[in-house]
Amino acid sequence: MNSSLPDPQALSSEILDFGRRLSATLAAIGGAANARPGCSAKQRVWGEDKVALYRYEPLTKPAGITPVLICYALVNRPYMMDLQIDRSLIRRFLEAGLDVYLIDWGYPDGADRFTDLDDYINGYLHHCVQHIIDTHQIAGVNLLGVCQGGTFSLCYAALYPERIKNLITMVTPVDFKTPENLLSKWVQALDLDLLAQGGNLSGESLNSIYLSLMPFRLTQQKYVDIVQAGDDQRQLENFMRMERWIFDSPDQAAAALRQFLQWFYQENGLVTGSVTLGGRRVELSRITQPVLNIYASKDHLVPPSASVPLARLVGSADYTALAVDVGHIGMYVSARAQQDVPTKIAAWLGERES
Amino acid sequence: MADNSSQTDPGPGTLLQMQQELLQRWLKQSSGPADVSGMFDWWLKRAATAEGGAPPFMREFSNAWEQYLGLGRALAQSDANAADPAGRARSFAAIMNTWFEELGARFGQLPNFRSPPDPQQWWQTLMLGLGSSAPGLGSTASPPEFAALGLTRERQEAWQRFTRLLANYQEVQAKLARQWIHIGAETTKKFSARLSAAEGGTPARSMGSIKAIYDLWIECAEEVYGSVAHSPEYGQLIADLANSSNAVRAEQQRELEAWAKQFDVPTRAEVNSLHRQVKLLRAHLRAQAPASPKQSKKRPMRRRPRIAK
Repeated sequence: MNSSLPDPQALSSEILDFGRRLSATLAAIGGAANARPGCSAKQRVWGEDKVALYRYEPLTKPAGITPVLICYALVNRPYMMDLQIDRSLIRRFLEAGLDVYLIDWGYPDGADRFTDLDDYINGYLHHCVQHIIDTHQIAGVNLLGVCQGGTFSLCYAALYPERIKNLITMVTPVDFKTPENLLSKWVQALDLDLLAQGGNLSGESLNSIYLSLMPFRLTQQKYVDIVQAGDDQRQLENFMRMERWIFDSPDQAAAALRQFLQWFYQENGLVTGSVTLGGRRVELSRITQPVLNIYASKDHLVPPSASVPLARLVGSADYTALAVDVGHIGMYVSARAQQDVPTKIAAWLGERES
Repeated sequence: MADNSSQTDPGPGTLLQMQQELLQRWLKQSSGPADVSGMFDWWLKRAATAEGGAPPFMREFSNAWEQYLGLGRALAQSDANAADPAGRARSFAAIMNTWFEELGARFGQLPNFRSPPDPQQWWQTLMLGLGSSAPGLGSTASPPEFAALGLTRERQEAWQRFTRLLANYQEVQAKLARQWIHIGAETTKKFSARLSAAEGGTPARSMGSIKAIYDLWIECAEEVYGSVAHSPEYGQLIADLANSSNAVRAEQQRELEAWAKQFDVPTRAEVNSLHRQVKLLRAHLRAQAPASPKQSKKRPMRRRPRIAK
């Protein structure tokens, strides 16, 4: 029989090898579980309610570039941007001499159930920008929006174009109704009144939705694959830090989540121009400053087709798209992204500094 | 300080030895032990005696590893019993199919997708509790839709509404379970076909290890799941599941609110009302305050009104 399946001897060897690796993994993973995320020193420079603005301490001589404000998503914790020394976009920025600020939205609780997108964008985000403008006596900041934070940044830049020097969007959904967007398909028939009536959406529920986008890979395969690490402490620590981040999801304020799902997922408001914040319509054509749109070509959460349409929606004559051959998470932590993305962002900003 | 517990603790060595013995026994037996969970149970029990107990993440790991080793066992069994390639492929596929049942069960346990109590069971319990043997009200009868009457009319209606919502939620869950069975069946077909092709000497890639076969299984499952999950029917089903679950929750919340009022405990509605007032007040304050203290300093000073002498 011309069989390409493993013979009994190979099978025994493989199982025994798996057992050895499993033992080593089990012995080592307890220590790895305590690996803490975050590696760069930072100071809390402003705060309001549960929101904090951090400024990172410089690592090198300043490059003389306008400060960069990173606006992260609400759905996960922003320490992913500075996970560990060799997996930190922020650290690469600091090494390039950038002055980096980061918004931490905190963990909303029951007191925040009526916090809406107007509060987040016209309130907290606006106040963070204002703080940086006041501190540095500048006209506008470089705004870098990540994922959902990119959508917020687009709204903000459209409402306050004079306060944004350059806009960078990273793995940012713009067109929420593309054929590849599975999450969007599931959201279309949701009864959002009923959802909001139940209060904040727990981070645990949100995670279960994310897991169900690729259930076999995310609930099975990755835990089998990690056994290959054996007692490689470094690899196990990387894994456990990621694991901690993935499941460290804040609850979502009911009002903000309701608006986000309705305005962006159901009504595709950035494309149709139907989003209104604080009584003002969000028109992406008002964004005329330089725009750098970075997206991941293997992204299952924000498929490239959701990000690419930004080109035709903004009013900027200086628009650059950068596709990186990684997945959504890989954009923050993969070696490829670590090598290319921060360097390209720093260079792109430097070219537009004068 | 470096953690050197692995050097001083004899546990891992013992574990390795135990695992090897278990694996040898397991591989030698044509029928195999009932399951392979013993390897994990041993570790979990040991970890549970440690300070703080077994880390919660271990359950995730052991679930995945048990299933992976289940594939190895399936492979060992089929190798011994099945002669033809197609038979071996079918043998794997049949065992892999049970994974879907387990996954389906796990999906049902996720937050917000928790199975609600069965109204039928509630009714039976109620009837048994009342000792009812009246004709037409046997313990197996379905909960009837009585017309709500009398002093407790509103309570009866609330109860009926609740049981209807529960029944609806369970109906949606049953539809979802059928989708998972479909996904399982289609995955099995796809997996068998690819494995048969590999056995027939036309592999798209090497299948010379359990890991390669396992990865193929996952790949097939994700492909089938992806095609189903992107369909409008599945999208509607997921929305129905969320909507029906939220409707049950809202009804439960309404009941809790009614109880809270009875005991003069603040209700969610009252807390919401206060939060709305605070939000409104803050909006008023924000509208009156300058954008930032520094910005207010930069504003041109207003001239003092001259006081006429």
